[in-house]
Amino acid sequence: MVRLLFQLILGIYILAALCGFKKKGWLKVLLGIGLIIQTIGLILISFAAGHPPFTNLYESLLFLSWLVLLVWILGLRRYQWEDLGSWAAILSSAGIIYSLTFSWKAQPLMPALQSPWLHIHVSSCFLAYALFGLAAVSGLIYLVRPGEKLARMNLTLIRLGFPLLSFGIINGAIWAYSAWGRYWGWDPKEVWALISWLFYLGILHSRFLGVGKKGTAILSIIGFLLILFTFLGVNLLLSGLHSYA
Amino acid sequence: MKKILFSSMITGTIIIGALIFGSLRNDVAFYHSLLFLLLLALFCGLTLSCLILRRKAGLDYWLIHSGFLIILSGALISFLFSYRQFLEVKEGEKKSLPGTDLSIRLDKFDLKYYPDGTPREYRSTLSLFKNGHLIKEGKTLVNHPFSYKGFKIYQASYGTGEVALVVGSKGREFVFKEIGDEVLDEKSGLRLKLIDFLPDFVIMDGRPSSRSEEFNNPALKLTAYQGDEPKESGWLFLNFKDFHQGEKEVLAGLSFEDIVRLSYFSGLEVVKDHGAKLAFLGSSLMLLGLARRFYF
Repeated sequence: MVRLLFQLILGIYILAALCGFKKKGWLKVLLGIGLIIQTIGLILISFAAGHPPFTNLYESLLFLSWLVLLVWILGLRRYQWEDLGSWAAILSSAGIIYSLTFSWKAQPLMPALQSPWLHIHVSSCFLAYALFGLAAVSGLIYLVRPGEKLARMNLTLIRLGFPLLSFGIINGAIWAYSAWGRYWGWDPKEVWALISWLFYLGILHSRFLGVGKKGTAILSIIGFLLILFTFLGVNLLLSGLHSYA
Repeated sequence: MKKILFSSMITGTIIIGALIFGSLRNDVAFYHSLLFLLLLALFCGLTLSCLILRRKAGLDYWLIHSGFLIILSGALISFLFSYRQFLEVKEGEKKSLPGTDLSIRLDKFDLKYYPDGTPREYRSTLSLFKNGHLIKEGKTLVNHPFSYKGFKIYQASYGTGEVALVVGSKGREFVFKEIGDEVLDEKSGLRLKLIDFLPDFVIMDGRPSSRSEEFNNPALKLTAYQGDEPKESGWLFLNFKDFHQGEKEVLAGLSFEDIVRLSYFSGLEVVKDHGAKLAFLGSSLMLLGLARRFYF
């Protein structure tokens, strides 16, 4: 039943993405409606499972695709992100499509995940992922259609994401210290989060060494690929303590 | 200044390469190797020189960069000086902590399940002794360690301690608790001896062995004696009660009925880490600086 709801949401987002290339007005309306329905869908999933929707891969994908559009809508006015709309919708759709390839079965929360840090840790990391995803999208558009506005968006999104990724890694360390007795254990997820963090750290410093807008755009795309590997690749290819999500 | 920044970018890139290599090898020892530590030291040295050269940089710059250095100093202290000891303690057992005058007794272990059978909570009720005197009682759960003067006791794992294996024979029951236990079947006059027990029976390289410590396919091996003469020997399976290897006379009348967990052991990780507070202090400074720099 909830799956059907998300298939409907997916339809709305794809329609919005297509409209967005021609009619910007429709894009906002459709994404707004989609986002409201997705919020309801996520609340339904949370109630059915008895925990927030980010304790396994399919839930995380739905939550992340929701965050991408939420961030876009929140930043729309202030940062003038209209141009990103269609691509944000495509990014979210990809998340939902990937999520639909899994069978949705709520699992109970294992003892290590029963902590208030779960909410803080996942929210901050995923918010950073969403911002970096939008940064990569703006970088991609910049490479096709260079412009001052897109370059500014690209940099703004990286600068908004970086402190959140730092916060996510640090509160993850505090949580790990209270759950396992060590704040850093070189778990593959930790290592890849550090790789991504160092990479974005490099992007922020590279500007002082003369790397220009085009360079930053390219680096923001590579950075998001590292984030995707941290989020998905580590779970699928490397084993570790984060194997649940 | 630019040269230092350029050098730290190169070092950072090499560190990223090393981290990718390390994650593929998935061996923590790599991150403790001299080469990797030297890379980190070089990175810190370059950050420190930036910090010194740009004395007049703003507050945010200072918070972020000194915070980063404080985190790594904390990590170094943790790496060099932290105390870490893993103990497996059975219920009722008291074990001393090597290198300290402390000992831990596991008074009780509780395990709670979700309706689907996955563990929901496990907790150890502990007593802590110093030089043999009781100094603190308490409990430790995942995410809620037991603390005493800088020592923290973490609930790391658990396992089944003593079990009772129940073998049925035409309405009667025999109980075995340890390998080598014997029972006398008064009806037939035969002695049954427990030779082996495997929690997760599998044939590997032609020999029976256990795939894991979980009770996935429990099997026990019994030998029936008539007087001192071994008469028959074979495996009984909990999940396949009617299965008997070959033609069996005595064992065909027996079945592996049940496993009763008599006690648990608790896996406790005892940690004293002086670097953690410093690392968290550095983290707070860095986050404060980042928030000021990018959000306000």
